[in-house]
Amino acid sequence: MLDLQTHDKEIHVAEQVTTGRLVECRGVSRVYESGGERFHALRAVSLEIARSECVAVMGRSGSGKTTLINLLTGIDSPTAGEILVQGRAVHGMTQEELAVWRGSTVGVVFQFFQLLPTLSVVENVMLPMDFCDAFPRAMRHGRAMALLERLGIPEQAHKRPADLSGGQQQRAAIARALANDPPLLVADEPTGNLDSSTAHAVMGLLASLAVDGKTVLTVTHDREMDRYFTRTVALQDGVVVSDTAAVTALAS
Amino acid sequence: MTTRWRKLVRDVQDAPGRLVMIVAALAVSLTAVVAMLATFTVLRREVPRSYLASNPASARLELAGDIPDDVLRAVRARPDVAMADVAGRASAQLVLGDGETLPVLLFVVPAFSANRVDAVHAESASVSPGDGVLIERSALALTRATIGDSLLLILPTGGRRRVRIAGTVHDPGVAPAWQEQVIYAYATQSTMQGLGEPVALDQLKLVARDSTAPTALIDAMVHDITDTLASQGLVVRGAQVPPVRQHPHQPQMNAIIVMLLMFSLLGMVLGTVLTATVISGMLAQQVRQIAIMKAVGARSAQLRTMYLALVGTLGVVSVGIALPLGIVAGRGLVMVVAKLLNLRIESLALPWWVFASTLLLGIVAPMLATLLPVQRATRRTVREAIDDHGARTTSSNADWMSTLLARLHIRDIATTLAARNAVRRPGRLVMTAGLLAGAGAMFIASFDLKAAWEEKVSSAARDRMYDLEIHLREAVADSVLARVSASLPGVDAIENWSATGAVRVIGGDTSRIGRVHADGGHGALTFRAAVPVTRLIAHRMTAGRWLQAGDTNAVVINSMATELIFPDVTVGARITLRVNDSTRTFVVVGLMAESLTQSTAYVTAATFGAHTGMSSRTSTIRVRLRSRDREAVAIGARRVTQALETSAIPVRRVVTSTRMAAAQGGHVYILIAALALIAVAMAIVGLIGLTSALGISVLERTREFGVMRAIGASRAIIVRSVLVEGLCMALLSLVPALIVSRALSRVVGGVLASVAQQDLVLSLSVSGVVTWSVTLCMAAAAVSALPASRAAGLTVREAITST
Repeated sequence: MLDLQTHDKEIHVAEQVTTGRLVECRGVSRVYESGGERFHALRAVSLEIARSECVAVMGRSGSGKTTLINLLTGIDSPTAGEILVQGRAVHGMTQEELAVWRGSTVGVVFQFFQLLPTLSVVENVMLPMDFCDAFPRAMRHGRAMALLERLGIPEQAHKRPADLSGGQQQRAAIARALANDPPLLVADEPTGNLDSSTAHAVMGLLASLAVDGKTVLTVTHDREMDRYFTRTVALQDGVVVSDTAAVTALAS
Repeated sequence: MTTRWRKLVRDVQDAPGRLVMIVAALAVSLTAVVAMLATFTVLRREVPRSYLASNPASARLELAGDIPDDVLRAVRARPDVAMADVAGRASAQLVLGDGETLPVLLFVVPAFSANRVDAVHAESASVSPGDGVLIERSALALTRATIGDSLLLILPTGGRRRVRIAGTVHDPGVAPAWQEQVIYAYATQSTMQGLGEPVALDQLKLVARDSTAPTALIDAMVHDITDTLASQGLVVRGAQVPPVRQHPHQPQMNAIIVMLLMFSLLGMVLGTVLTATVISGMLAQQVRQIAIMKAVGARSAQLRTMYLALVGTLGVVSVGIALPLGIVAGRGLVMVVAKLLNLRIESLALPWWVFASTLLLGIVAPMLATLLPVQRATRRTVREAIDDHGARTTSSNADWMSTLLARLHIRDIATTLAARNAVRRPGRLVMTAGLLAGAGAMFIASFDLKAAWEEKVSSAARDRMYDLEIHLREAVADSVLARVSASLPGVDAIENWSATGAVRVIGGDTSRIGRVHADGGHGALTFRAAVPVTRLIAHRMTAGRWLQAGDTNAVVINSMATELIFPDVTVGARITLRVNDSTRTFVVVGLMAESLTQSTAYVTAATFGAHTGMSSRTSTIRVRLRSRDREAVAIGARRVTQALETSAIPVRRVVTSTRMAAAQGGHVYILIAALALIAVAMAIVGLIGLTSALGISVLERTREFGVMRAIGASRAIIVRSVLVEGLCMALLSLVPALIVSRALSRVVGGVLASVAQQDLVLSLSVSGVVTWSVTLCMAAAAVSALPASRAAGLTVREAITST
């Protein structure tokens, strides 16, 4: 007898691939318990993100932005609902599976850059390739340098992160996120620690990556950055209150 | 090298201090273990080898006169006898330059080249002394002479002759001369004849064919030979069958080394635990980096391998340092023990398993110990790791301790912070305090033991209220002695304490077999005349009573005799002793505590005389001088000896209280010193643990310090907070240290008591506790100073932006 559940999943993967959907959240909730109280960070959020979309997730502090991208990157797991990326159920993976999956599928950019202080910039970029054995060893340095060149900081390659400016560190972090050539790039407040002009440069960079075929999902609370995104999802108290993709679809 | 390994190397390069601490802790504790293992293995192999190489006699028969050659040949022909020799023994005195005399034990053989049983090894070129004597190597220093010099000897019959030292020998069957304060000299019968002092070769020494034969079998052989000799009209006066193939000090030596080994292993455990703590601290510091690595694709197994490889590398470095140091220390200790036991060490080579154990303990053990924290850190989810901000409480234990501290209402904010921070991580606190408590317990216990042993030596000196023990060449009538005593210069009191050897007889045994070793001391029982109302010893009875004037067959036995020869005997029991060819039964009327005195059975002078044929005569006197200081005793010994000899009472041997104290004295201190050294090693490990714990704590609290500085805390408050935290941890270790030291004192005291064959009264050494507490507080303040100044030196910005 045909396993209906598996059959459904197979159909779903085929749908995602053929329709160009990369990420799909279905009724995702996340509840935290602290001091005996329950806090609903996300409430039954459903969302689909297509390939090459450049999506901004906006909202006030505590609205659930960071929780959402933590769930999409497998850094956190949902209390309820399903998350599928490239057709794979992220919510059902073990920590080890998540590590391997993340290494090949998602590039993560953190607000505070989070470069390893004892490694040089180029070594930071090479690190994901090393862990995932993604490229032949002899190629890794060249690839890392190429990424740094693309991000405009090749001359900083052999410096330690502490010797770089905030903008340079964030570029290096983006280069690291791209090291294994993942289809999805997720950035949590990547401009939160940068001055205005550097923030715009970084956002422009992320937008250009989407143009080149990457799917970019960025958390930001800065309305000025709207123009870099093809789509904006607004969250409030853990609920999607607006999604420009839905408006566009409705208009079309 | 791939990037992840490069990261690890850079981590080491960027913060070498912590890893140096790990290596230091592991190396210190591992050095102690290697030293003890080396000592243990070398001595276990060399002590029997050195001892057995001399063909120690399985049995010694004492006959009434010279043993004829045909008898010796017949004994040698027996199938159960591997070898047999005859020998003689005599006592003499050495007159030193300042007139002081030292007892000399003369071992006489027909010829050294033919002597196989209880053989001595030539240390100098010649083993044919010609007209001279050979001196045991450990006795040469006591003679204050060198090879080729002449010694002035008072020979057995009283004649004074100068005898040349022809060379030195090593006799593994005797204790070191400096321990016993006796000169061991070796001469041939022809030399003695040349000196006009022939010595009867009345000892028949046998080595059993079956080298593993039990004592009972050797006893049976001795009985058979005794019967055969008796049938040939020869009188066997007694026989000695010492424990088979066992050096007199072997059991004690084993006990000491095993105990030291146990303590070293304990130190190693602490070193390993410290490694786990420091690595935990390092992982705590790198928690975010681990999270980032996982976020970019690292698997837990990859991270685990990295950190375990780091620990393994530190272990390899520690082994590299500890192995040569430990071997050198072990060899040093082997040579010290060899000197204590008077043994020759042929080889210091170590078996392969010592090296294997060192690798296992130095590399594998720390890796196993760190496996859990490494696993825990690398298995955390990325979110948990990213959300970890360091300074947080982790258990309900910390909560109740913090609540308790809150109730104390400490007014000083720095002290409050320090105290709360000390209990914030209960696991780390327990480990650090545990390390310090372990070190403290050993330190205090070594002080306890030292105090107990010193008390034992003092108690022996207090109980011994005489200054000279004078052995007369021949027993003299009590009336003559009483007359002479009155005219002896500087004498306060003089009493008859004659003595001779005795053997305990159990059941219907008529073999006269004793268990005395070749040195004549170990296993011997002295049968001694005692004065019922004495001024010269303080007899402390543990049971029953002291002798009374009318006692005829009453006996009092001292503590060592109770322990070694009469363990089954209580007051009122009957014991049978063979004394000078006669066997008598006595009633035990008392058990007496007597410190540092060999096994002795005391009877009244009348009883002694009746059983030894010395009624109303005295062979040994004890003398109390009016002036009792060291110099007065030396002068008194010469004057009294001179006065006795002037009165035609020749003296065979004089033992001064100074010599007695030296003989009873210090060689047990080597054990206490070794304990103290291990305690110091553990203290180093403990303080490294404290330094590490504080370093980690400061790192974790960096942001907290930034906030404190931002809201107005001065540098002094920050420094005080860290210093007080260090002191809190140190002080918290004191109570467990005291508790553990009690148990440790009892265990080690038991071993020491068995080694010294003395009961030890152990009590808490106040000086030990004070010394440890002061040292600990000072060391804690010193090791806290660095992290404290580091914390105070941070700017608010550095502290707040710290990751």
